[in-house]
Parts: sequence; C-alpha cells; structure tokens
Amino acid sequence: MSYTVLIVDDSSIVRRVIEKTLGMTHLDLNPPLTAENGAEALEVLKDHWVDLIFLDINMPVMDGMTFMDHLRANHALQDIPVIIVSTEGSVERRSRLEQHRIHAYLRKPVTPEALVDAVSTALGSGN
Amino acid sequence: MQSRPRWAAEIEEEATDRRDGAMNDPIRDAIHVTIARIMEDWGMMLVDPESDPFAHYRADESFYVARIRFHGVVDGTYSLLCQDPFAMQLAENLLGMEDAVSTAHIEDALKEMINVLSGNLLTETFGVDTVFSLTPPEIRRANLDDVQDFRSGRAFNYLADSQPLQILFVLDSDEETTHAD
Repeated sequence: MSYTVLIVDDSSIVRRVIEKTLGMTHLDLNPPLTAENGAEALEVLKDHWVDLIFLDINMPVMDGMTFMDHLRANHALQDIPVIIVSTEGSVERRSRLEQHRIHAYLRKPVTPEALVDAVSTALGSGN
Repeated sequence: MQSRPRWAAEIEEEATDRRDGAMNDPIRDAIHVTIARIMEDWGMMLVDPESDPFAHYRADESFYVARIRFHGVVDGTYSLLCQDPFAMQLAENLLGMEDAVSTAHIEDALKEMINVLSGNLLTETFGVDTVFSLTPPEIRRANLDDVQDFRSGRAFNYLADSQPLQILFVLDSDEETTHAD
C-alpha cells in the first residue's frame, strides 16, 4: 500500500527538506503533495486523499490553527493524522493543538531522525 | 489577555542596558547558545562569536536583511544581516548540494532561518509558559540604513563557516526610549 503525505508550509525550503527526509523512511510513499498555507491545503484535500499531514502553524492566508479547526470539523477528514512542525514553543499553544488530536508535535529545527520516527509511527503502525 | 509579568520589565531594562553598552550576560549567553545550536544542528554551519564582522564582509557582495516581529508580553523585532555567500551556503546545506539553488530558495532559507531562530530565542529568553505571535518573516536586499543598524553596537556578531552573520534583537520599548532621547 502506498501512502500519500501532504506537506503544508509556506517555506519552500521546509517542504523540500521534509520531502527529502520522507525518502529516508522504509515506507512506500507516493510523491508528496504540498501546500503553502491552510487554505491551499483544504483545496488539495478536496481532490486528493492523504494519509498524513505535516503542518506548520505560522502561515499567511490561513494559519495552522485555523486549518486544524476546519480539518477536525470535516467528518471525511477528521481522522487524518497530523504532525505539527513549528517554531512554536509555548505550552499553551501546544496544549491547544493537542486538543485537536495531533499525532506528534515537532519543534523546529527538526532532525531527520525525529521526522522519520514520527511518520513511521503515524503510518507504520496504522495509526 | 496575558498580564505582564515583572520579569518582562526586567528584560526591557536589560535590553536598555545593552543599548547603553552595559554587559548583559544572561540574555547574551542565551542568544549565543541558541544561535550556535540552531546553526549547527539545522544550518550545518559552525558558528563562532566575532568582534568585528565588518572586517569580514566583502565589498563586492550584496547584503540581505531578514526581519521578523514578535508580539506578546513584550513586542520587538529580530533581524539578521548577511551577504550572498552565507545565504547561498545556507540554502545549499538545507537543500543538499545536488539541488540547484535559486534566488527564491536562498530567500526562503533566510526567512526560515530568522523564523526558527526567533521561535527558539523567544523560548530560551522568556520560557515555554509565555505565548508570542510571530509575523511572517520579511527578506530583502539591505540598504545603507539597514547596514547602519547593525553597526550600532547592539548586534550579536558571528562567523558562520567563516562568513559574517549578525543578529539584532530590539524591543519596541527600547526603540521608544531611543527616539525619546
């Protein structure tokens, strides 16, 4: 079974680094889908099924928090595992995100090992 | 809305002391440690403090300036100044040498750098119990006024893989005090 990952980040660098790191996993992954903000990500999700979402928080147009509100309110999308990749460090913000049942919270800068571990547990275990 | 803790005033006072030339070991040390960790772990560059970065800047290279604003119990701006060789090296390190590095990649690399630095520096300085909002980072070619800001003596100065790099941390209250003088 091939998995499809959606990478949501306004930085082309971050999207590329995550994409390259995904190539280091042992999982069978399709070429990842990408979006530069939450609004664009919701458009992608209208046309594509994804098995996992990497999500930044601070993005223009629609930030990660607002995207999570939309995602979890959508019955068809609410169970997609989400891994947050963010510079956010506050306990309050992280707590709010965890209320949205995120799979993992990775603080930037993220090591390749931490990314691989997070995606492997999110997909490899069947989540 | 968060109440303003007493230590926020202390941070502002310390920033003013730094502006006035006094040594501020806790903030400076936190910034040194964080920048070194970020640049080595993420940027894959070795970083050393440098007393005179302007002795290392090249006359034939342009400058980039990147800025990000933060809002919370205190408001302010993180800025960085560098030249093309550093910016190119950073983008190449992040993307891997096999990828062609474009101007867009370079600018994205610098924006991400100031984003990652700021998030970590705010946590290191103010703790995990304090919430800050960060604006989207801005990147552009530096003009003379930008470069002059980094000559003011308030910047934290480094060589990253022998390339000069400067970080400026300015609180809005610091600027208000300066303009009131």
